[in-house]
Amino acid sequence: MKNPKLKNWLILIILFAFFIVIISNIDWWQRALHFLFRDIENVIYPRVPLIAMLGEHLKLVIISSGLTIITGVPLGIWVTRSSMRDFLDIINNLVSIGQTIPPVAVLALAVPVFGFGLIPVVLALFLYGLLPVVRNTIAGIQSIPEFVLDSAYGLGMSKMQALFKIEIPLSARLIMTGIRISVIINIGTAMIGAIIGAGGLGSAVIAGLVQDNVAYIMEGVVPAAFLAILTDRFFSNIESIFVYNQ
Amino acid sequence: MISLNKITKVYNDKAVVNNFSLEVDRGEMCVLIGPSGCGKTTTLRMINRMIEPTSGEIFIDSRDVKKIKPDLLRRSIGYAIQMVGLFPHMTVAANIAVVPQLLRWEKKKIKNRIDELLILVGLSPAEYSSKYPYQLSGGEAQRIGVARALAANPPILLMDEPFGAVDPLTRTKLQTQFLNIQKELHKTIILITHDLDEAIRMADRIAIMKDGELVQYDTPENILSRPYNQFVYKFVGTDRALKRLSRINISKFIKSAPSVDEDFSMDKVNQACEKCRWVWVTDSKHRLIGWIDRKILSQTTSIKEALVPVSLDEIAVTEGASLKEVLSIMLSSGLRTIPVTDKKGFLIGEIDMSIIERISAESINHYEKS
Ligand SMILES: Nc1ncnc2c1ncn2[C@@H]1O[C@H](COP(=O)(O)OP(=O)(O)OP(=O)(O)O)[C@@H](O)[C@H]1O
Ligand SMILES: [Mg+2]
Repeated sequence: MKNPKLKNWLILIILFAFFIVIISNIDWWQRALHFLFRDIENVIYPRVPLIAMLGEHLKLVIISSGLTIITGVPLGIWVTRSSMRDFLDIINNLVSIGQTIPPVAVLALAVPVFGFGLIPVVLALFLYGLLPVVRNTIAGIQSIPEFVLDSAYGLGMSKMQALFKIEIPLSARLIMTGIRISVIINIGTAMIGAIIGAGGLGSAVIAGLVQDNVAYIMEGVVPAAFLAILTDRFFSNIESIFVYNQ
Repeated sequence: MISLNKITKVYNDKAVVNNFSLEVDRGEMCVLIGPSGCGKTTTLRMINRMIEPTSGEIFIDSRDVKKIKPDLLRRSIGYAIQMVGLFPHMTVAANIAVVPQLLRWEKKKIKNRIDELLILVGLSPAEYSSKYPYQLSGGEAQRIGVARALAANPPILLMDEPFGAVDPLTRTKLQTQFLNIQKELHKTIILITHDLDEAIRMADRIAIMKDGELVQYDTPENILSRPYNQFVYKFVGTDRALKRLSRINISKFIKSAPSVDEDFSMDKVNQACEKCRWVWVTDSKHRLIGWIDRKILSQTTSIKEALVPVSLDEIAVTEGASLKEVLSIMLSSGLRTIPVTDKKGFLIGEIDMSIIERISAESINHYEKS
């Protein structure tokens, strides 16, 4: 293939179109689930339409991942500044702890403070997704050979110029990888939103678990998996823009 | 003019540069040389404030560099680092454009400058502008590094082993190229090298360093003929006589050469030189084609048979050559006298081995005598 990048974007567009078509044709969905689970009478989660659950799910993911990115990347960059080297280990450890605490525990702690709904879920997802972003940002910046930065300063770039013209572009690929991992984790983890009434695809899954209805579970899990695949593809394509040596 | 005044740099209680003073005149090329770890890079980097000296002062055109903001100072000094350090995410053109962009040149001017510089370092703009650093050979990358340092036309260049990563042949080519560039641009240059031949070839003055100190700072001729101490003596090595010859241009020693053109006769040969045994032969355009041996000429009836054709590459030197090249051709051709031609092969004169013997005798040096 002459232009592999173009090919990858085309694949993504096709997958995306496919996803839209399935999601918006609830009849097909119903027929397919009926076919798979013949003995289940009610295959579509009745309380909330799939589109609405997907919308809520996306909202959770976009808000929490957005927060993760806009705090995680600057945080990673900030601790790699030469004057901040002392904080590097501390931050690294803190974000690691963020990922060791199970999101459900965060929910349990946050609900008494913030009540039910969106905020505790976003907080839990935000903390949980921070590690890959921060860690990859740090790794990306540290992967730049010292002599490259050296020549940047040697040519007369200020710290800011070196950061924006050299450091960020050169670590962009690794940062993107971090974001990709974080968002994908988030798509899965956002299922917990349903526990405390923030909705999302988790609603169907939990209902399915409670009522022992596999079809409901499928209704929550399949779109989430699809969403994860699309996200993975999307960020992989963006990552490949920042590969400079082939 | 660059002036370093009693510069000291201490790392972990150890002075890696110690009480180092050096003056480089405007338009002069100073080559800094010394064993690995003697403090060359550290010294160079204190000039553009990449490293701050522990004590001492540095002046550029009598301005104390401490009083100039580092970014601005560096934009006015071309710097090629030891590791080249091209930016991997930028094309060759973008790499060269870095400093002009920092200085906010117009787009058009930058574009023209990029092409001009690529031509200057001997790379075709059409072919190289849009390449990425990973697509370059080591030698090409170094040339781009040099072009990038020259980009904003800074009066001062600091170059840390700019021809380090290339084979000897390419290195010689780059050196020649760089010398030609310097002939045109008259920059004030401090260049670091490990290679003494490079230093001798390029330098107006050589600064020899050892353990952070300046041991000798002098012209290549003087370094070779009057090494200051045992260290320099050893450093320049036993072939310093040869090295010295490489600094001496032949132009002063060219004698007029007896020659005849191709349809020569005995008379003409006699006319050209009565006492010489050998006479050069040129074609109608005065290009050297061979020589005749009078001894053979006297024995043969066919004049043409006496003509010994020559290949210019093997026996002739061109005007710009050094005595070292002359000697090397004499040794490989077995001739004591060789012709000097211009680039097109026109006979200019000849040069004799006695010159080299005389000069070598003169250079039995100061150090050996004392
Ligand atoms: N940041 C630093 N901290 C401690 N020691 C250093 C530092 N930078 C350099 N040195 C030491 O200073 C000495 C001189 O280093 P420098 O890089 O100037 O040597 P050099 O002459 O350029 O060597 P080379 O020819 O190998 O490039 C070395 O012994 C090196 O280990
Ligand atoms: Mg060095």
